[in-house]
Amino acid sequence: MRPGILLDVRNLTKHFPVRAGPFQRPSGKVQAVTGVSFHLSEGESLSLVGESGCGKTTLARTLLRGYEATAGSAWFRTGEGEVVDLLTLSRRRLKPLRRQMQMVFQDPYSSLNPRMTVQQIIGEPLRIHGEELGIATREARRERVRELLLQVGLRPEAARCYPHAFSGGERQRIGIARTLAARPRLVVADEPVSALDVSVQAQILNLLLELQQRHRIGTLLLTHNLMVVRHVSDRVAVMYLGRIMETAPAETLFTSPGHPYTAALLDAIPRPDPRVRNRSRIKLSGEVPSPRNPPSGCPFHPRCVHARDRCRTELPELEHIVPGRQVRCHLWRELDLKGAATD
Amino acid sequence: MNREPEEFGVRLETASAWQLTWQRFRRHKLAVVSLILLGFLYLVVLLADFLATADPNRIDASRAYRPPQPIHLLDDGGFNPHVHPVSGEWDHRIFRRVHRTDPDRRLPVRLLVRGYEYEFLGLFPTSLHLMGVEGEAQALSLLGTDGLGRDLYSRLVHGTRTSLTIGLAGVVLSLVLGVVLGGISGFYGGRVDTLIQRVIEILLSIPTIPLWLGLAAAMPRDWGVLRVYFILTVILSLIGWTRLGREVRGRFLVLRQEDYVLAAELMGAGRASIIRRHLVPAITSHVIATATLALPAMIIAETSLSFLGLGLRPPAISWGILLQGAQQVQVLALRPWLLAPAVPVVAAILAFNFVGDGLRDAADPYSRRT
Repeated sequence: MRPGILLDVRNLTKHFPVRAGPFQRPSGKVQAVTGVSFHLSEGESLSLVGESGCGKTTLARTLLRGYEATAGSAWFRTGEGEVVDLLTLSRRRLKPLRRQMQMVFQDPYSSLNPRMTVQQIIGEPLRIHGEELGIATREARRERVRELLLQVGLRPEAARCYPHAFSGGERQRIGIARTLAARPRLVVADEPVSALDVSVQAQILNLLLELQQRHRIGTLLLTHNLMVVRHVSDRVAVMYLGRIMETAPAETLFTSPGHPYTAALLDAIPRPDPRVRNRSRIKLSGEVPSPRNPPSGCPFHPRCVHARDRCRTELPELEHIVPGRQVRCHLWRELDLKGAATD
Repeated sequence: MNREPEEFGVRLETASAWQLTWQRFRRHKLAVVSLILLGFLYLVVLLADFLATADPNRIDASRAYRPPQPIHLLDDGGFNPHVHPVSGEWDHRIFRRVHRTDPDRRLPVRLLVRGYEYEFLGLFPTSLHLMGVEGEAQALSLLGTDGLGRDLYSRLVHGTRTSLTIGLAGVVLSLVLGVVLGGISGFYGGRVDTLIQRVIEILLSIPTIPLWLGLAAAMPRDWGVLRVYFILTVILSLIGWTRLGREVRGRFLVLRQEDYVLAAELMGAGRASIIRRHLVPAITSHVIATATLALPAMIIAETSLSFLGLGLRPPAISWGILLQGAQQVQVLALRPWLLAPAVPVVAAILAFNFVGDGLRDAADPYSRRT
């Protein structure tokens, strides 16, 4: 693994067996994530973009060993400079590493235990990993929670309250404080703002961005919202039906998308300009196909306006077109796709 | 951070979970009254001998079926509580014992008088009683007497002690079993879960009353009635945990899906810590509710089994046994005071239910009654 790389995921695959009938016989599989590869540098922010059901959450939970991967590897550089494969590490060796990889959850309501005070919630990682974090006493924990609350923009007095006393945005700040408490090297944020009011989303994103840069945390941001991505990410990977369709630096992706699916997503971004009316839009018809029964060839072909015969039979490779840029499309040379309007 | 500095001068009032629970509970007036009543009943349990006016087992045929005796508080305008002596004799014309009150004689009723000997809380022997007629304890029969001339009030006080305590161990045991086995079943899932669920199904299919009869017959002869009953409740609690076990399993299955449990897991928290800190606190209100419903069920079970002659048997004293003594039709017509034990049975059960309601609503932060 090259120096400076924090996480290198290779060919990660997660298929869920489907069981049916009275004897629970396996009768198929849901191909939630198939052959996903990407890397993340230390302190870098990478976004995984895709519609609901494209496998983002499965990917995140498999990476953090919430699920066991079907195949693939995920090399992680620990704080001690060791490189380990997260997917095959034994549970016992994984446990001390948990501290270095944290998750920010989508739903700020179900991710905080309603029966614990904020002090207890944020103090939990401190209690579990107190030794490594150099926080041994109750007093030290209280002091650290106070510090963390100030860092995420909450009053230190909040420590004594229960989560129900806070709004969605404030709860998400509490969740972020809990994440930071462990001093992670990698943070996986699963739709961190999609459950929040639009007016609060920017605040939380700014907070995440600021903390990521200040503490040099490698951040994997999963979202369906492209505007979020442009705001905070260095690089973007677009996922569709469990596969990566395109990766590119954020700005490049917005100005010149390489994949028809990316172009369609960009076109769907609402434009707050009353003069732009009746513009021709790329319509994405139909639903995302079921990952239990994915289409042959390119997974996007049933909804692609450019689809040809070749797309229906042959799965395109993820090709390097320029350094740092990959596209999974047979036609990337021919298509001249429109990017998002720059404003 | 683009956030305005907060006004740190504002004082923040917070209350602990128990304070909040207590505040909400106090708003439930009926539950508070019921709690006081239960407190009073358990005080009676502790002080049964002290409160009794006569030895509950002392038989005196000449006093059989004496009606309740009113205490007169005033005497010639002054405060002087007293009762008139009652003498019973057999009336050959109506084939019944009749009790005559002698309105001219007065027996003073005093507080803290000497009566029969007993051990106070099993600690030291004493003969002090709350009230009675000095030197002649049997003269007072507040709630009348039964067919053997035993004082009903004293028997009721002693019956309260038995009925309210004998099933407690069984209830506690089945609660513990339900929470532990149901919790294991819901938390670990898989084969352990399947095994425990099948065991529950088998236990649920065992009919209770035949088992009860069989076990009662199988107990050693030389055991006392109370000991036999106690052992029976403990054995029955071994099959009585199943419902709570299923409920706890269901709750654990739901809770395991919560993001905060996943968060704790991804944080590296151990299983024991997740169960202790995240899962168990979430079911306490439910367990409390189940316990407050199991207690009246245990009282009803004792009362009804004893009434049928399957539970406790004389010479033990319990609510069920006292009611068994009121089984005949004549009681309603001639000796209605023998039905008095039904009053504490109903009162205790209602009180337990109301307290259970109040506690469940108060302990659950999601049930907002305003």
